[in-house]
Amino acid sequence: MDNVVLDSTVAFLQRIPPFQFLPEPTLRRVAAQAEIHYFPKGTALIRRGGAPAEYLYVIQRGGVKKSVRSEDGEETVVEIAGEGDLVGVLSAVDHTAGHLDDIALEDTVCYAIPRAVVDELMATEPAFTRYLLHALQQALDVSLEALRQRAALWESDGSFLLAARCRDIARSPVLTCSPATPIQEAARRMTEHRVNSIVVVDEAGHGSGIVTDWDLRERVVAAGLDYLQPVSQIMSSPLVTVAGDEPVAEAIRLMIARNIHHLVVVDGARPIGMITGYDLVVRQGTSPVFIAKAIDRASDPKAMRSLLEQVQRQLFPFLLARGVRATQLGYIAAEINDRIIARLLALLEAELGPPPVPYCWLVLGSEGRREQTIKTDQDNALLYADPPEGEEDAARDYFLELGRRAVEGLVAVGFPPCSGRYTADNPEWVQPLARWRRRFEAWVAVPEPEDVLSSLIFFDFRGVHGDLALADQLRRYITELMPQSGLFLVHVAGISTAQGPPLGFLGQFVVERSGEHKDQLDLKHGGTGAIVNLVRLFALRHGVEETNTLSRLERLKAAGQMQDELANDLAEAFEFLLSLRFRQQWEDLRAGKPISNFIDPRQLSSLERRLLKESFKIIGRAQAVVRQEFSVEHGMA
Amino acid sequence: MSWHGGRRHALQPLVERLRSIRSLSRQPLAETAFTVVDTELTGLDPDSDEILAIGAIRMIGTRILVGETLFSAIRPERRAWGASVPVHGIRPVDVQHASPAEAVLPALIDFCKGTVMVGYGVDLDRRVLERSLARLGKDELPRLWLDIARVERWLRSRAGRLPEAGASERLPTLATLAQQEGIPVPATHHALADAFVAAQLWQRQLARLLAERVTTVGDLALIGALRRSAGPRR
Repeated sequence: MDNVVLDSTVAFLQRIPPFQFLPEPTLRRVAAQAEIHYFPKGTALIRRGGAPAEYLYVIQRGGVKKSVRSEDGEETVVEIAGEGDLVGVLSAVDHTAGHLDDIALEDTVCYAIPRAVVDELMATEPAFTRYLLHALQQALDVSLEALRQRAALWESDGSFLLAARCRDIARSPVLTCSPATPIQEAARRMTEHRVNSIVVVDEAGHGSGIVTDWDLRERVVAAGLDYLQPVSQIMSSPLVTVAGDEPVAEAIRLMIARNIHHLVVVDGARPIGMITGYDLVVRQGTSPVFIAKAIDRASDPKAMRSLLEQVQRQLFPFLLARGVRATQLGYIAAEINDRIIARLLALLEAELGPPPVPYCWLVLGSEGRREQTIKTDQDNALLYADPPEGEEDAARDYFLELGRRAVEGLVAVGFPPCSGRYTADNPEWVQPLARWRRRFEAWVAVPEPEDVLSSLIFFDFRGVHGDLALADQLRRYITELMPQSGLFLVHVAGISTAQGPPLGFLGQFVVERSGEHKDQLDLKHGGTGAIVNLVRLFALRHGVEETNTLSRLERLKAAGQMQDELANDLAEAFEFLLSLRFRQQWEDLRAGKPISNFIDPRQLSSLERRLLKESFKIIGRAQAVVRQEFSVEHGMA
Repeated sequence: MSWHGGRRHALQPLVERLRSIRSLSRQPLAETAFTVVDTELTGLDPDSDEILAIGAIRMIGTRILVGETLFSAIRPERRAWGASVPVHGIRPVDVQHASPAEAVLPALIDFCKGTVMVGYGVDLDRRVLERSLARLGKDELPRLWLDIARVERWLRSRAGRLPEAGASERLPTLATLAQQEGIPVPATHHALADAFVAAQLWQRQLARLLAERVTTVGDLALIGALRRSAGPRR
């Protein structure tokens, strides 16, 4: 009772995660450094983009609205935090600018934990750290989700453009001038603002006309008009406008109907933005559906190549910037690549004549798992139905030629050939179903360690074109093989645990010591690749036929074949590592550097470094589980 | 103007004090260090009653510092104070092993150094404290005392809740006010608990004052809540 202030603070924090994970003496020390802050209704605890918060807040009484504002000023409430909830986790942990607006919804009292105290706890209290990082990941997910919903009008199905409102895509503000402005002055301002039109407004601010580059050329220069005449002499009037709330489809209709390239978006009679034909083309260009349609119309690899570049340089960064998850991006990339392959094969079938027997084009490895990043080697194979007796050679000749030309075509489109020659121009990987079965049988029955390693890529195959039922038949056969494959799985387990994540004994990053990637980390080898291997092992063992890592984890979890916690942790780690790889590759691409899987951990934010370490630790944990399970079952370490 | 030696010596400290008051009066409240203080006494007579317990907590602007508190029971010189026992529950037996005032008050002086003193109806606390210190030959408590009962009165008259005519009406007790404000009261008539409640009340009042453009220490004097103590009566 002697220190009622400290005691009541301890009593409160004791109930609140992550403080409840702290030992009593530590908690008392934390409480002794805490402050109590008061925020009247409507005031900000943290401002989006403001200075990094000095405190982590725990709401003692009251409520806080966490929200983001999109570029067009629309507010999206991410969360309403109440008593016992944390505010400012990201800012306090990562020392970054506020990423949400945190506003008191009513008079609010918070315990405020100074940042230095949080830092110290993050360094010394693993349970505390784990909880905060987890909360952080969720907070990021939630706010990204909220932004994603706002951005949904741009995404996914191409209908975005027609459903969006004009104000959402208009460029603003609009450059304006009065009717009396001299032509030369108007032209000078257009140049200064790098726009090709200026809207003429009257005293009331109502749009009365527009002057474009075309008007300057046709009505001034060509007509020899005095540059000092007022713009009202040459403007196009009346102004064609569209209300901000109208769908973009209406803007397109107007532009076509009036044959104009500039459309002024108005609020009442007041111009608030401009839509140009060029804008619409650019927007359309980032629509996946537009690209898909263009691929289906492409008549040669060259046309496909420019589309693929458009995907890599425009669509992916566009989607990444809008918070689309890396794993989803992998799916979108797979859709596009699959379509290119299908189109290419359709063109080749037209050249070579119809295939003698049904066949199926297989993609392997990351393509098979739908986990491509920007850099995509070709990994593919060709599977065809067993030909009738006597026609084997003819069929083989046809498919060898098809495979050779298809791989050549894909190189021309921009998919580099696979360094290990796992491509369908290699006769070994162009086989009828019966031989593919025997091939897998051999891998599984008499495993040699190096054969197992090189065969793993095949176990992630996926059919993308032709008779997909053939791929399904092969997959089922492999599933049936697995129960008698003890030693093979032990080898796979060995491969999956051979190399630990790049973390030292003290939890520090282990980077490359020399060479091209000195001081950098390989995100693929010790990161995403390690997870892929571990999850594939479980999938093969338990007959999960999916190839995508997250889908495999879902299935394993649902069937109780992997602990929920481990499966969830692996999924999170995979998502995070893949997103880092994506971002790095995009930056390489933009900088004109060769695309790699390496990052310099020093260039990450402190939060990202922590998440990276956590992800590596999860890999280490999963590897320990595998070592234990397989040594127990098979008496082998 | 020149001063004769004797007068000059007498006035010099006053001039310096005036200077310090001027600079202090412009000091922003949001950055000012406060000591929110409460005492339990043997009775209500500032000229004779003694301190039984003292509690204090530090604030910087509107921030309450949980770890910076002071609490001590004090053994008074007198042996009986029956009338006030029902108020604070401190019986002679409860403090018979406590330290005497001379052992406790120096720590209070250190704790308060350079701050503005704050309390609810703080005049009584101030006078008893100053008298006790004077008996020890000390006169080192800060001179600026803020009565947050007066702040409450001013805020209420601003908000139209208390008509000017009724300004002389008695304000509710600290406990009642705390209840109205939704401030949790851990224990009544415990010196540190009461100081803590007063600190939370002052925190809210200060947020409202800042919104009313009462932003400096000098402004507090203008609204009649801040008093400069002349020091202990001699």
